[in-house]
Amino acid sequence: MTTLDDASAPPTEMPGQLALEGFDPPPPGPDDEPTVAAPTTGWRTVRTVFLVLVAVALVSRLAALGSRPLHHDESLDAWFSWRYLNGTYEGYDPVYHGPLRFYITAWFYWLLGESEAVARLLPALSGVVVVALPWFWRRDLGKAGTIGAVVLLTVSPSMLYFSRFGREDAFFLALTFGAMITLVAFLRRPKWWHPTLILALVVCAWAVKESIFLSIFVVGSFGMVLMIQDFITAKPPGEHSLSGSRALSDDMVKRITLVLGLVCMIAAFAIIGVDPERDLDAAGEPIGLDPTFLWLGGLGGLYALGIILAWFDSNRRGVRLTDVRVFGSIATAGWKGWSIAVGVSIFLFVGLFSQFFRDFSGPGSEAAPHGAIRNGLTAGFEYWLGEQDTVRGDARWQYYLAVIPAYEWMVLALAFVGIVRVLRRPTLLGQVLVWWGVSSFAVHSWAGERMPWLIIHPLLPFVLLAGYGLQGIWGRRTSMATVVAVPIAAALALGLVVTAVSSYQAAYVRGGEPQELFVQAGQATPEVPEWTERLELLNQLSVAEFGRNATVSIDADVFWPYGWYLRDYPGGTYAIIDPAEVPPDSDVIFVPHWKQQQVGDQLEGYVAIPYEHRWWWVPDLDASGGFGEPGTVAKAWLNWVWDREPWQASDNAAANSCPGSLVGQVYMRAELFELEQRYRNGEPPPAADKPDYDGPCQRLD
Amino acid sequence: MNLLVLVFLLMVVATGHVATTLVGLKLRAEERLAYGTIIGTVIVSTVGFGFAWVGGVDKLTMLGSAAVSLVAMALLAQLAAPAELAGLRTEFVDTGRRLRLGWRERDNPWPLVALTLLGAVVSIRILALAYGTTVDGGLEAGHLSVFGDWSAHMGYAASFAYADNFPPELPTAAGESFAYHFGVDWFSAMFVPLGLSVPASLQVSSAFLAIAFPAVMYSASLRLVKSRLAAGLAVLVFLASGGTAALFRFIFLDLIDEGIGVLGALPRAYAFDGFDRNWVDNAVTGFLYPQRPTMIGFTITLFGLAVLWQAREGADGATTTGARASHRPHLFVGVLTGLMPIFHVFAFGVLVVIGFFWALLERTRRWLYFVVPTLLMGLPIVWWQIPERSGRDGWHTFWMLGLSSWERTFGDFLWFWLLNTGLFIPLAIWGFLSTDAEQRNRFLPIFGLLLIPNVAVWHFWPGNNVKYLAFFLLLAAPFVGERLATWLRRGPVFALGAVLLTISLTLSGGLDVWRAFEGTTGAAPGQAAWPVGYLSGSDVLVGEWVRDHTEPDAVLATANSNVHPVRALAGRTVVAGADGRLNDLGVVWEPRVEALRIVYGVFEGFDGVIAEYEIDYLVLGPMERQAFRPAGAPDDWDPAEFWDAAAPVVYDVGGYKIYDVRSYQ
Repeated sequence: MTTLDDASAPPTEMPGQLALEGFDPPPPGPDDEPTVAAPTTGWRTVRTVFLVLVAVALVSRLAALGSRPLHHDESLDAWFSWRYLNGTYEGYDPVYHGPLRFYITAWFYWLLGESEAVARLLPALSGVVVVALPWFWRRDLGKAGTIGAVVLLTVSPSMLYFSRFGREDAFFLALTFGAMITLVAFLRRPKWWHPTLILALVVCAWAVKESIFLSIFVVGSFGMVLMIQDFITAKPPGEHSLSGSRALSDDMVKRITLVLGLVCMIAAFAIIGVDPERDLDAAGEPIGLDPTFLWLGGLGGLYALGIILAWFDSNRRGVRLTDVRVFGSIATAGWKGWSIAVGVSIFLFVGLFSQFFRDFSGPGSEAAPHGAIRNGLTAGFEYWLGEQDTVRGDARWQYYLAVIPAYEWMVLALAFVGIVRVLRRPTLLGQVLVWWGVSSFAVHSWAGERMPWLIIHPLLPFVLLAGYGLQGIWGRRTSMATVVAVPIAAALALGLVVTAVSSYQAAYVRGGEPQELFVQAGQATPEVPEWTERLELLNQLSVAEFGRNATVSIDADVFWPYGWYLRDYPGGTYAIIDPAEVPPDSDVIFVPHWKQQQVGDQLEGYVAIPYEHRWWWVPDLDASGGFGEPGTVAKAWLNWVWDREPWQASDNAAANSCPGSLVGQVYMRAELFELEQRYRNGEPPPAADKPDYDGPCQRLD
Repeated sequence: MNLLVLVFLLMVVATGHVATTLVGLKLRAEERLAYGTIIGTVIVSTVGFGFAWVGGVDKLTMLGSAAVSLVAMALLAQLAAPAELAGLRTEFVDTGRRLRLGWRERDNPWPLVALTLLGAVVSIRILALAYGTTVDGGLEAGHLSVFGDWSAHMGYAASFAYADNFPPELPTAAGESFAYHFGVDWFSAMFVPLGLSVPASLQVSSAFLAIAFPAVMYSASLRLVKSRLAAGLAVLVFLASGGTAALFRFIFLDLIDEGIGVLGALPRAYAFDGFDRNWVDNAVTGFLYPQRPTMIGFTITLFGLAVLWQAREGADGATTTGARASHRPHLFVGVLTGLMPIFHVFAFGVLVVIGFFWALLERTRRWLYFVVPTLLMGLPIVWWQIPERSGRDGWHTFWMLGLSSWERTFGDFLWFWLLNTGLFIPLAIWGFLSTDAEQRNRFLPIFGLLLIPNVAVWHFWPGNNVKYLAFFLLLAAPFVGERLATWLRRGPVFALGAVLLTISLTLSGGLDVWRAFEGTTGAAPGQAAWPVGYLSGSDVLVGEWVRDHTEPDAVLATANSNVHPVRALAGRTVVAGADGRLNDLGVVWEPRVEALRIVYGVFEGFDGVIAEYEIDYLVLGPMERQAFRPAGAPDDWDPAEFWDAAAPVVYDVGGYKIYDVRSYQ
């Protein structure tokens, strides 16, 4: 295990390090130093508590991992991994995101067997890694801050829920978090292997999700602002103070550049808008520059202009390029370090996108029409850009503003303290966290796809800022009056308990039920796994009694997640059912409600069973949602925070949103139905456990 | 696996870990963890068995058993070994320090960690393949071990989990005592109330014990040999044992015929050829995987001997109390040995023989602490287990040769052992002779385990003699490992020789382990391509129906098949299980099978048979129709014609009928 002393060990260097004339590694500036200095005996306790929390995280992420019915997207991930295991995966297609998690989950299947829990194992383990990674920043966060951040990551409802959710987000988050930690280390005390690790993690993240482009944007923009800061505040060799030569202190320069940089970015996104409309020519082709490119290009140009001006200024003061942190770190890695980094990245990239050098052709789909490598390089970005216009998920830019506070109000409150603390003393890590949090929030709010599982990406830096804020509060505890300290401590304790209960309810008790805002429209109802088991029993009975498999036809509109659940079902279950022409030999037929009338009319000798396939709830969060009195939304929101009772506006009564579900009908051949009854000794099949709303929904008039 | 199972397993490990403080010897944290896994299994299983007998098999009882075991061990340790208990934390800290040592440092535990991780991947993969599902909803078996031995184990475990088998009776023979070391199957049954199916409970409990095995063997071997390399080689030559058959069959037949791709679908088992010439199977696929009690018996034997060796008179600074004549190691091993008849009666025998031999060598009072609990606890259990039929076939010479197709000549005798164990025996003798006098004196009895099966058959089935040999391979492996490690360090020529010898010792067994691990097998003539069908969907339906709809203490008449679903899935007691070598157990099967013929053939006196065996339900399915067809019966013979009118039908699906025949009792 790494000790605190290791952090002060001299950096290892590669032989053949890049030799720059007159270059010395940049001395750490005052903001490079962690806020907590030498290790003390108290760290042993912190380490013990940290290990206990990681154990709690492990248990909480793994417990009953397979119990919630699979969401539509989870089932696709599980299915593609299974296809990779069976050698039928066709390669990267950005519609289904990167292949790396398919490879890893396939390996888990191979080792542990195929199940819903194993399909979610990679995100669960990634979630544990995310909980553990703040340890690398413990000297910055401080004892209370480290423990606080780890506790919040462990109990955060969003973090827990989406660590147990079989999509790629938790894994992507762990990779980008690891890359960010390495990047900060590289800026502080560069070592030859840092670029290799950073680029390897970036390539892995690239092979997981196209969000890597957003991450690159966040990091790249911060790098530009950091360069402006460093050019302005850098000191020529031998000079230790700029006092008297400049009106602004270093900290003030950092505050201004940080805030101004973020304001410009937010302004650019506000100008572009979430759904930019472009003028079209007669042929329907857009005219002029895409506003996204125009304004983001302008933002980049603005940052670049700042860099150039600051560079001129620093040059005038005799500052060398390598005195600036970014350039100094790049130089320290040396040409061998960078060669290895580039070589390893290319090798990884080609390996990951070619199914480990076995298949260089792509799937040939509309979104991935090229070869495997070109698809990896360009198709993801092109697809993502194309999706910007379609606006997937929630259409409202303020979606995260409404959802994140609903679960993570405690994180946000402490993060606010953390941001204030950073602005008072803008350390490198503090600035990184503020930039990462605010810009991620902005870019995710602007980006066309707003989904609950994306919450964790902007949330992570705020959790770390919350730890930072907590350390600030903890540091002032001795100077606080009791009358202040006790209520703060009580509020924190109460908030933690409420958050933990909320997290427990969302993850275990109500996991997958539609009143939770984490539940998106693709979530299957508990009837889906119930029906899976029932179909398997029906097939057993059919083979045993009639000597043939039960034929099951599931209409394409209600097929997923059965594609995963019934992957081994003999003969297949997928069907595109034309209501005018019902499959003649089917023993069991699943149809959505818009087909059930027509299909039901044609069937004779079948038993009709009502069926609920997926469910959701889209709360009316807009002020213009038709509510009569101001504050009604806030009241409904607060009610929901308290009792998780969904609501809807009165003028939205017909919108099937309180909660709504995709219903349909299952038709079962009477002969098979009777056989099942006989086997069960006349007892009914187990019924799915569903939520019961008092209202059934709060009605807001 | 769910959270309750995880919590239960953690409590088992913690119980064993704390219990090791009672040994009174200086042990390292990793040793305590490895040994503790097995010791915890023994303790929690024993306590749980008592609790379940009184309170039934449910979730609360199982978790409560583990919790009570843990608390009891902690209290006992606090009373008897407070210093050792307090020192556990220090040991973990010390492990952290040693993990940072250089690779070449003897105290560095990374080799053990790596070995355990490798063993875990291999074990989990092999056991994950144990069962699969078929397209008709049935079960398939992924390995011969599962199709054969695990059928019995599944029935035993199910009898505890679903059929309230307390006090234990043999579920395959109504009214018989449980003449089998059922401890490991009871341990599996403990997982069922926690949410696992019976097949999954066998897989999880086996994986748990299998993951600990290499760590236990390595730790124990390290106490007997001079280097970590020797200890690692001891583990390797034992786990990959299997004779020399692969040298010919793999290299000169399969590899030449099919090329390197044959590794993706190995067509045959190499260490074992179905009792033709290769009788001594690979340790993993022939002993540990199918014969589940060995996973406890082998490890407890290794632990017991390592402890007694460490605690011997004159050993340096071994005890935690500083008193060399402390009796605690002997008492601890004595109690564990006394419990062994429940878990592995062969381990009981081996520990008794070697322990008593060492007691004779030392002749000190503290050996009474070993001898007394061993005899007081062990002998009554053995006496209770002794079946009604004697299995002793007496003395003979050249075991196996007389039973094989070979001539009974001395040359064939030597050839037989070369084929079955390669150069393991000469290497073991060489290693044994190379060690110091004390070790030679103490470990002399292990050669008795090689001698006995060559001169005597004490079992119903002579093939069981191989179980003695397995102990010889286990306990002699450190000597072989030491010898190979010595040569590996003695210059390139010796090193090359050692490498070739290691390959010759491990190729057959290694290929068999690979075949089980890889999971895709081809089939040489006369061999099965795994997986194979085990229970059909119809079988599973009837098995689960019986489990859910009949009384736990019901007795059923079924076919005497090794793969009958009523026995395997429902755990209900049947009149007669399979009479093959896997199920002999000293039961006199013939009258039972004859009784079933009378009932199914509706011959005179059938009602008396039902009353005699107290049969509650009569199962009539494809296996019964095939097994009990009377000689000369017409093609359309079907006892259902009689039973439909004679008893209520309570189940009628998929070719199976079940009749309620309680009115005939």
